[in-house]
Amino acid sequence: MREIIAHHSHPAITELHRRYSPKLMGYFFKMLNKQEETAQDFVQELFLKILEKKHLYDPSKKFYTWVFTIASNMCKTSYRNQYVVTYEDNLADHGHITEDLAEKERFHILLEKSLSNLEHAHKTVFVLRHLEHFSLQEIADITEVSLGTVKSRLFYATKKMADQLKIYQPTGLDQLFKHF
Amino acid sequence: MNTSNTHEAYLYELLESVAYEDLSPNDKALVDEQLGAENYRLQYQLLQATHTLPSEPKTAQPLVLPRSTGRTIPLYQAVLAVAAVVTFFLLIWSHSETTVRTIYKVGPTQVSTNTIHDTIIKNIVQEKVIYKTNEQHALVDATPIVPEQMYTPQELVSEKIVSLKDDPIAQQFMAEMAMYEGR
Repeated sequence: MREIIAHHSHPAITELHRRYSPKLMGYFFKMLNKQEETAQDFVQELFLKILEKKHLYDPSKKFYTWVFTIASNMCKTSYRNQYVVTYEDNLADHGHITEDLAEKERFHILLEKSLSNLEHAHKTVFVLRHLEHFSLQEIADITEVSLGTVKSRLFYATKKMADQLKIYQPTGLDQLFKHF
Repeated sequence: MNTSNTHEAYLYELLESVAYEDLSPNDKALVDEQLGAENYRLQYQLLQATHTLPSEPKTAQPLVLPRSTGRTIPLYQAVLAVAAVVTFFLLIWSHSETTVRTIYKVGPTQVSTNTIHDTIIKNIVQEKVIYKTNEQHALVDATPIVPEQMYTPQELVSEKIVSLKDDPIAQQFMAEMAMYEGR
């Protein structure tokens, strides 16, 4: 990043893209309800933003955290503009998940369904914590809220998702979790 | 942070790390009060299962950078360019003539004057009775009245046109004038 700031280096930004784009792509993919093309566009746009706003980067902080802050804000903006298509719109029928799916796959699908129904702030912290494996403090830095607020949001996100799973799997969740 | 938020934050820490069966008696009491054992187990399982999910690495498309990015104009070049533009305009302006256009109003100017008379002049004729004594009257009578000598051109009294040289009155007038100037 210092190389980019100092010399406007194209090879340096390309290297950053090589390192971080798969992770960012995964994050956008989850946050944008599996819209792959939109996620690709967001990754491109994010790296252009990095070039434009390189002067705002604080070298004393982690670059990774700064990039995800930008990514998180982009998702927030798209959510406000109703750019994100809800997950329900993409699934033809939620009630008929085929029985032959492996339990893990089944859980994964149910998890994505319940994630898509979360509020944006809750979804963001849940994805960052449990799917992108950030520390609680890093999530606080990325979302620019206090550590207590992050934990509180995670608590409510987990509670809502558990309630959603109960609705999707009314026969009981023991069968679903026994393979984990 | 209020008490409710503190409980939520603490409960989340427990959910992430401790199974219901492994909770301390105090924590178990808190969990029972706030969530209930069944809900706690379910949420704990949910978080554990989520952590075991394989990550989905996605391949991003190659980065497309705009051509202009990274091309910067050196400061001295920018300063020179600005100076050149300013000089150019100064040269243009110094050679251009300034035209002053004066617009005259053509046509009669109508001036209306409204005179307001605020003074009334009133002529008062006073009758004055003058009493004259006999002596004064006598003094006035004693003053000789000298009739003014009038010279009437001949042509005004006669229709006959007479030359000025032949007019006796004119001759007399000219002689008196000569005498006057000679004095």
